Amino acid sequence: MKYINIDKKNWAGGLENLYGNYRLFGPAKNNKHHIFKELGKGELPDLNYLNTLPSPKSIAFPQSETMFEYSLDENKKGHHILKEINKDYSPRALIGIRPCDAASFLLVKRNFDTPEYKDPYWLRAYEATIFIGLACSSPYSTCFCTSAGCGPFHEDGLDLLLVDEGKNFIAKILTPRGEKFIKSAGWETEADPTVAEKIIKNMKIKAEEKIASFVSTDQLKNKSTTRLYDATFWDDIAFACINCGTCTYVCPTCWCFDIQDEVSRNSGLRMRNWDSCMYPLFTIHGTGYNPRNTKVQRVRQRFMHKLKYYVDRYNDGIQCVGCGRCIRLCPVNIDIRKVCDIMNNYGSSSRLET
Amino acid sequence: MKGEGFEKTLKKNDVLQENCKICMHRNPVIYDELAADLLDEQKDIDRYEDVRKIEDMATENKWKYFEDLLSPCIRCYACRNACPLCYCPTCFVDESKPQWVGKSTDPVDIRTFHFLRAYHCAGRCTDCGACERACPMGIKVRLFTKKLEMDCLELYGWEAGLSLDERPPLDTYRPNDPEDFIK
Repeated sequence: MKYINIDKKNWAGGLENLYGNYRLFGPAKNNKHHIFKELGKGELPDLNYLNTLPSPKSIAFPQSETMFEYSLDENKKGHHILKEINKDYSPRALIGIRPCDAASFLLVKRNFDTPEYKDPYWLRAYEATIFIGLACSSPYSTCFCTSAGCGPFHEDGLDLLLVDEGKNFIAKILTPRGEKFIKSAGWETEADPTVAEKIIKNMKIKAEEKIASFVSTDQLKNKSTTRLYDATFWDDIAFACINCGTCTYVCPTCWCFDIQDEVSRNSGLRMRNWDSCMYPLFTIHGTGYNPRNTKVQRVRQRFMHKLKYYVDRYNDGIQCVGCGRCIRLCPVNIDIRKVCDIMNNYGSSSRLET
Repeated sequence: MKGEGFEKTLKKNDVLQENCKICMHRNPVIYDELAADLLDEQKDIDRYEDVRKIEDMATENKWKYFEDLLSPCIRCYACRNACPLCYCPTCFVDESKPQWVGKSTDPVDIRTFHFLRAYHCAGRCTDCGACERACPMGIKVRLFTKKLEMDCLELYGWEAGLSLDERPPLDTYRPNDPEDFIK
């Protein structure tokens, strides 16, 4: 494994070299919170942050994305034919993404990149993106990444991991794309791998110790889906829910969308927009019948999807990286950690699980 | 405030919600039983300083102000769902037959939602602040409802939530209602 020492004095200069080769995205403070935004020339990512309020999923999966345009003007050639919109899929770099958020892209990939269906928009954007992670040293009290298959120094989904050492970053190169990125920045000072590894290992242990909350997920797979579905605890969990879509919109792993046509006079756009299983409109049929007509059904769907259906389908843990955004931002303090534990422990004292 | 390895003293006014700082009805207006003694109500409070500041802006600055105010909106509808006034079985933004508003992040659609929500609450909003508290993006959504609250007070001498018997001003007619808008 190769490690590079980046003196912070050379940080801005390196980014300057990268500008032009990559579109650079990084955290920036917007009013009170941080968001990921495209950085202009000379603009530096603000790495003095815990995490962005909205997740960076929109880098590959924007809240609204126009896919096609068309004309309804019969005098025009090619009217009523959907034409794909040209988009900028030139290389882009996400600088300072947290390991949990980088890992979330791999979870979302499961939905957008399957043997049967390949989502061209998400995949092109994803493939154009290089992930420059920033290891976490001080988490939120709501972070539970270490028990959600992830961690503050987790490397899955990253091309490069930056570890902040005060005066310099240690950059751990994880992929050839990461190496190319480092080269085009001009950061060349190689670090002694044994020393770097030791430093990172120690920092990692300290960081992991700071993650103070956990979920237990070991029993989820063994639980009967129908029994969990029919469990009586859902009424209690959903009781306070106001059915807004905050949890789903800030979640890095929620991937649902809705396709809409918007027509103005003779020209139209076909777009897709984030959708949320918290909304009644999410499932309403053309007949007016709604199979998930009540709040409790919708709340159950969100948690069953993340913590049961996904677990059963992919056999690789829960559909959650433990970033804690939904816990921090829920207006009524619904806590996925508690829900997960309730599900995991449900009926464990009895074989009947009722 | 105490936690692991820290202790901090906060001033109450620094952590109070904005609407609580300017609250004129700290005592319940309508109640069957009162659990504690009545408090002194706040005096000399200018409830509408921020609204007047916006009103004094030039048109283009005002436009820019509202554009910036709403730019972080993710349309999660937490403000609407937290509001104790919203009682429609289906909100106009959730109607699908016909669909009244676009579903994208188009600023026009986002503004349509916020403006209509505010107008729908005119004369009924008590400035409880639930909308602002629920907003995950920290948008000061009360600014819209407050302007209408101020108008209701100035035009009709009306404060919402003080009487169970009186009809709200936009729900009723009085011969001496202001009619300057009829030209």
